[in-house]
Amino acid sequence: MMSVEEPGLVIVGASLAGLTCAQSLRAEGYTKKITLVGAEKHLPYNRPPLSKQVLSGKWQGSQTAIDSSEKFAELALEFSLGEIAIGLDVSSREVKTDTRTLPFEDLIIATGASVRRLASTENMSRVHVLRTLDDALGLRDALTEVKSVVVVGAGVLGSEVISALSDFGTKATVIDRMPAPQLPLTGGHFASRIDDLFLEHDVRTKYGVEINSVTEQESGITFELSDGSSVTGDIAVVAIGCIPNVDWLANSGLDITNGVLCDSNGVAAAHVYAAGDVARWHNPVTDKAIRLENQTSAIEQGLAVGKFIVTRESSPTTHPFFWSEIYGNKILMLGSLQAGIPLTIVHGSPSDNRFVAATISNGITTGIVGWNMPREFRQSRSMMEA
Amino acid sequence: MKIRVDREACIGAGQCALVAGSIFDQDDDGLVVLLTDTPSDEYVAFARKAATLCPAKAIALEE
Repeated sequence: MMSVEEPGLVIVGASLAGLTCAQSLRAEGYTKKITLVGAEKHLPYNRPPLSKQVLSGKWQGSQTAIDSSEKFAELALEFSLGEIAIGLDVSSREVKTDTRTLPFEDLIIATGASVRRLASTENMSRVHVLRTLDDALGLRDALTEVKSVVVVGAGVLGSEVISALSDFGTKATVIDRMPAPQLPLTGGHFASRIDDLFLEHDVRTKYGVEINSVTEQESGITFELSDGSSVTGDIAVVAIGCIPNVDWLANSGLDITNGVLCDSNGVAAAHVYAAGDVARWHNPVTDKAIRLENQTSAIEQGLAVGKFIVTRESSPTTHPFFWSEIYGNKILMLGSLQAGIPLTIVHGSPSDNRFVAATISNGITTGIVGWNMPREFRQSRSMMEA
Repeated sequence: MKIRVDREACIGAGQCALVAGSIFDQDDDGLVVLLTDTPSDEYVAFARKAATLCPAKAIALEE
């Protein structure tokens, strides 16, 4: 069914978004060649468990694999791993990589995002980040040998890392320039709940401070802070977000301001599409283009692009979704909670540590969150369909 | 088609029960419960959709 002389479809990025595009294309009946070019040496794996099951040691790294190579062979997907895209020519329809020039009929950009590093710490061996499988395995090994860790960033990833540290009996200090911990999409409604969990677990918290300098010694690492204090640990974990991997597109002519700008079907240019963390899709409901860094957006955009390429049919816009587990509390979030509007409790009770809550603005539910109540959370999702 | 679910990986998002409620349910902890591991032909597409949408990749299909 496939012809070798046709360039077929090239997907740059062999992680969840790229793989989902490929699966979607095949499910929709696409029969031409599909090549996935991945910078990492691993077949597609799942990132959310890295800061959870992998870091805690419950899982081996191999358990994060999304599918087997046999499955990929059944779908006739060609992987080229450890190959790095360095340029795109939209008019001649060619991707340039570190080893070759790759022609395409259609291209999907799914290069994801890279971890944001803290200035001046790039070469420090005691400073860890957590984005890739190799990062997670390296950090897990380091954690077995240290007694204290400084976490920079009290977002969802930082909070998950801090919570994993308690399994190791490691003393944690968290630094953030914001005045409180921040979970994405929650409008600040969970800041004090997360902070209470940190206090319960003897985490030292330094909020609302800037880092003036970082020094690595033979025995540890020290952060001098803007309030005049300093914080020292055996190692540090920097969790201050991600930046889209668009450098290779600098001369492509595409709009790559905070991600590859796309219409609501994922079209960036003729025959060029983007999906996942690297993409900034136009949302027809809000009339804004935003970049979403979460697992379900990568999946849903991948499905939508595959379907659109084959059928030219649009898929409905969906709500962003994320989950987390912090000190054993299972948190599920759909849509986004509005800041400044009180939470409406839909099920359970915050004082029992089990509830589903929403923010409702002018009769419209903007977001719902489940805290240790997954079944009721799922049943409440219909509130978002109104 | 044979369906396998990994309750260790499941995070209780409920995507599977939303798109294929005749195959998947959730227990009181929100974890996936398989109502049948061999869906009839008309439900195979729903099982595929559930496996793709599962954010934890906790659903495996053998075809």
